[in-house]
Amino acid sequence: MADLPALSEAAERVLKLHFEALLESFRLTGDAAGRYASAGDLNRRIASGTPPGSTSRYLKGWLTANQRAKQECGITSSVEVATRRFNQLAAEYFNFGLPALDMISSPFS
Amino acid sequence: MLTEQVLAEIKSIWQKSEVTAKWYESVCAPPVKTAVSARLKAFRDQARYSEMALLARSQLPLGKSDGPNPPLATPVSQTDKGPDGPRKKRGPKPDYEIASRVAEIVKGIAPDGKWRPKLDEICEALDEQKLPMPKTWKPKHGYLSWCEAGIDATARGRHMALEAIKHHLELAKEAPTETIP
Repeated sequence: MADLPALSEAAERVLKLHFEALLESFRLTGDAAGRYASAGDLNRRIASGTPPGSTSRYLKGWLTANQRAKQECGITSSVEVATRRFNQLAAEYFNFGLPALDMISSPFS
Repeated sequence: MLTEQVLAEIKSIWQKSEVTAKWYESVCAPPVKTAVSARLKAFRDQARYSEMALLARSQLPLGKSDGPNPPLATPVSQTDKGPDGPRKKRGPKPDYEIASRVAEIVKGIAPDGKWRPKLDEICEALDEQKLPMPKTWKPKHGYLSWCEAGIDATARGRHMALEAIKHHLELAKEAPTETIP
C-alpha cells in the first residue's frame, strides 16, 4: 500500500481547523480527557458490558444506562470525532484525485 | 493508512497523562476502532461504486461519454421524431384493410350515407363477414360480437358500435391510395 500523499499547506491547514472545530463541538479539548478518565468504575463496566437478550425486560433500561455511561466515559464523543475525522480526511484525499481503494487500508482487517 | 492516521489523531487527544492514555486504550479504543473500520468499509464500497460508474461511463460509445450525464428519461417530443424528422404517431398502427371493408359494407347497406338508423343490419353484416370487433370489447364489456353490442339494452354497446363504425369510416377515408408503378 502506498503512503498517503502529501497535501498542500492550505489543505493541511483546513484539515487542522476542521479537527479543532470537531474537538470543540464534542468537548474533547482541554481537560476533557482527564474528566472522562475519572468516570466511576460502575460507568466503565456498564459502558463496556454486553446487553441482555433481546426479549429481556431489562433491555430498554440497560440501553439507556449504557448510552449514558458511554457519554460519561468519553466513548460517544471519541467515536463521533473519529468517524467525522475519517470522513474529512477521506473527502480531502478523494478530491486529491487518487484511486481511493489504493490509498486506504484497514489495519483491522 | 487513512484509518491509522485517524486513530493516531484520536489517541493524541488522550495522551496528556498516563492515566488518560490507559483509560483510552482500555475503554475508548475498541469502540473507536470498530466505528472507524465500519466507516472505512462504507467508504470503500462507495469508492468501488464510483469507480465502477466511471468505468461504465467511459465504455459508452464515442460522443456519449462527453458532456453532462444523459437524462434519465427522454422527452416525449424527442422519441416521437423519426430519423428524418417527421413525427411518428403513437399507439397501434391503423388497420386500413379492415376499415375499407367496413366502409364497403356500410356503403352497401346505406348508400345514401345515412347508416346510423341501420345499425342493426350493419352489425349483422359485420358479424357475417367475420370482421373483428374492437379488442377491448370482450374483456372490458363482455361483448362477443358486433350484434351483441348493437342490441345492448343499456345503449352503451350501441353507442360503442356507432363510434367504432364511425372510426372505421374515417380511417377508410385516410387510407393511403395505392400507386401503380
